[in-house]
Amino acid sequence: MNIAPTRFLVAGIFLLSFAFSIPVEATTFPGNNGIVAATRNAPSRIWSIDPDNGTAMPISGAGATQPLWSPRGKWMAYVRGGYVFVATPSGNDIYHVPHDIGVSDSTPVWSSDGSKLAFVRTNLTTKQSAVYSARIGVQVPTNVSGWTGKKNYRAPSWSPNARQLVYEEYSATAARLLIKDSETGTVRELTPLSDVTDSSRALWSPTGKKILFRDSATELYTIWPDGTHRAVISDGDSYNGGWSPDGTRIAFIEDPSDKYKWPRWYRGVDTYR
Amino acid sequence: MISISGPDGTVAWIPIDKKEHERLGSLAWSPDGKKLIISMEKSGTYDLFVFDLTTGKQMLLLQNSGDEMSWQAR
Repeated sequence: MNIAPTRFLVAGIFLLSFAFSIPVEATTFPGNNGIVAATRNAPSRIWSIDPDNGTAMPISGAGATQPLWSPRGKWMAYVRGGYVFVATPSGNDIYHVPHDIGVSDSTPVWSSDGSKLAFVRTNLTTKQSAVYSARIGVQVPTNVSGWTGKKNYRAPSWSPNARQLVYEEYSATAARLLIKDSETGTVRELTPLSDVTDSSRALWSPTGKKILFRDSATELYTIWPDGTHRAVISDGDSYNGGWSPDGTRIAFIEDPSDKYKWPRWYRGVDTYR
Repeated sequence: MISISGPDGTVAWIPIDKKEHERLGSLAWSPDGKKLIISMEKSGTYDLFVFDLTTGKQMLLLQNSGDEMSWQAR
């Protein structure tokens, strides 16, 4: 991960040719367990850890955060210096999402075929944020949400077929989840949110049947993509939920206080109603 | 004791041992769906643990980590 921002032009020329050769990853579940990527130290570096023997080594330069493996583990997305990078498992950068000065990119999320990333772009002057998407290797990302008045956008998540994105629109007084169809360009409201402060962390299930999100500050909900069947699945003080790879279960944290010895919940979810 | 439910909407506790840690941070599933990585915070730093949902065993994976992790599929 040694492509400095001053070398982006040279890297970009190389990566334009790469864009035509990157293999698309087909998603299959369950997968086989590979290595773990995690942040460590200050300034943060990304480390790879072999979960079988605990062998750990740094694979990034300083300031790297938000590691996320592509669906089949061929690539790792991460953020450094306000740029979204894509690297090999050994840490060699193969792509970054270019941008002009004055903005910063964060929170990349892969499409299920590993061909695209969605992420949040923030204007460093106005602090306004928007959701973008980029096909790996392509030099001009797409503004998905637009820059709209005093509204901000965050928490993107792809549908399993990579055609739709769910993301959050929020302002000082209101928030809601939206779904945009990338083929038709249509945008519709999925559900209103009562919490305008914390990110909803919307997550489309691997099966495509439900979307998990956080609302009311400390509760987790699921909802069908058509906007029906909104249901709370937690019991307060809950956060950081995640779908199992097969989309049938959700694990999330419920940590009300240290008085509970076993503070983490695990819930089965009916995805076939 | 671990009680893992099927897809019927029920909840089961996962018996995480927080040891000396003050709070739980975040989690990530293993690609095979049989394990979880869990971060736990103590005095502003995290340790990562792997919890095996099948056996109930909890193993320290990495000390002095951050709170961001991802498990590679192969």
